[in-house]
Amino acid sequence: MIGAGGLGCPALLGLRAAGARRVLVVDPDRVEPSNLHRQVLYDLGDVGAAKAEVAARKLAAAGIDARARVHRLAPADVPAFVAELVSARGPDAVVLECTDAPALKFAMNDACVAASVPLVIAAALALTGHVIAVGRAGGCYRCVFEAPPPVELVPSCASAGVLGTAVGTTGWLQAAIAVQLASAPADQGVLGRLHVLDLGRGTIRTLGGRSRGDCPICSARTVSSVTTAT
Amino acid sequence: MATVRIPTPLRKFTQGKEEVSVSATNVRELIANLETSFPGIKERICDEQGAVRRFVNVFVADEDIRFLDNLDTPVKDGDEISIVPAIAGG
Repeated sequence: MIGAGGLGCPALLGLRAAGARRVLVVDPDRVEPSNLHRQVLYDLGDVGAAKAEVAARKLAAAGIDARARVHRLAPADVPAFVAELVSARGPDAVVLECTDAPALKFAMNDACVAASVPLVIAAALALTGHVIAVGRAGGCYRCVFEAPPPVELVPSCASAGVLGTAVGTTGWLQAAIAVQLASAPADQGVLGRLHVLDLGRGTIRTLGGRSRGDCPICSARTVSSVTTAT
Repeated sequence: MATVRIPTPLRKFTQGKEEVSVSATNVRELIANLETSFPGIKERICDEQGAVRRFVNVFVADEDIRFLDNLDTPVKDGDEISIVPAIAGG
């Protein structure tokens, strides 16, 4: 779990509800009072504590083997992080990307595709949520969005706002898809599809899903690596 | 008329409207007509060369236009067009 904030908290609750047994939570931040309304794993007594540690402690209290890493993952560090994950947890680990950093989402996509590690990326803004599963077949995040947006063109939750139920619903869907990926990593029905949640209308649309032939990331995936990994 | 779903980051150009109706025969014309009605919006969808920006995707009836005819993808009355930029909040 990369990011234990507005998306990460409900996604962790979703993983707990689904019966996850081992979770690694990576987040550099500390709990602030302004987080509490939507970052639902935390309460007033956690203010000032590291989110990763609080989240891991609360999951551990539910019987989950939960570890914390208080660390800001930079895009350049992602390939080594994913390699370490595969080494420690094997190829069956699933990564949930829950940060608000566009470059990190693309870096995680690239590294996970290269390492055949299933990944679920989520994002939310205002009343909108995005969730996409990236696996060992089908399209990837770069098949939908070719490159990260310039920082000046990306509204943040601080500037555009975000509804707590939007990140909550998006995080739960992300967890549900992660569980599906863990049990069926080559499920063509879920891979590469962008789920667009509109909390204002109560709708979820599923868009795309095909691998872009000229995608520099997933088109380089070899048949043998897919076969071996699955 | 086609129905265009406007994403949150672009609603400041449409006076907050989530959906607008636009008459067009293809996506290129649709974006041009959007710009006529809502000045400034095209620049957020297309780059200086007129191509759809790399962090934005356009779907016609839930199909990525890059798998169709890109900006020349036909649009017909009743179609639903989704403009979907990457978002990053969490």
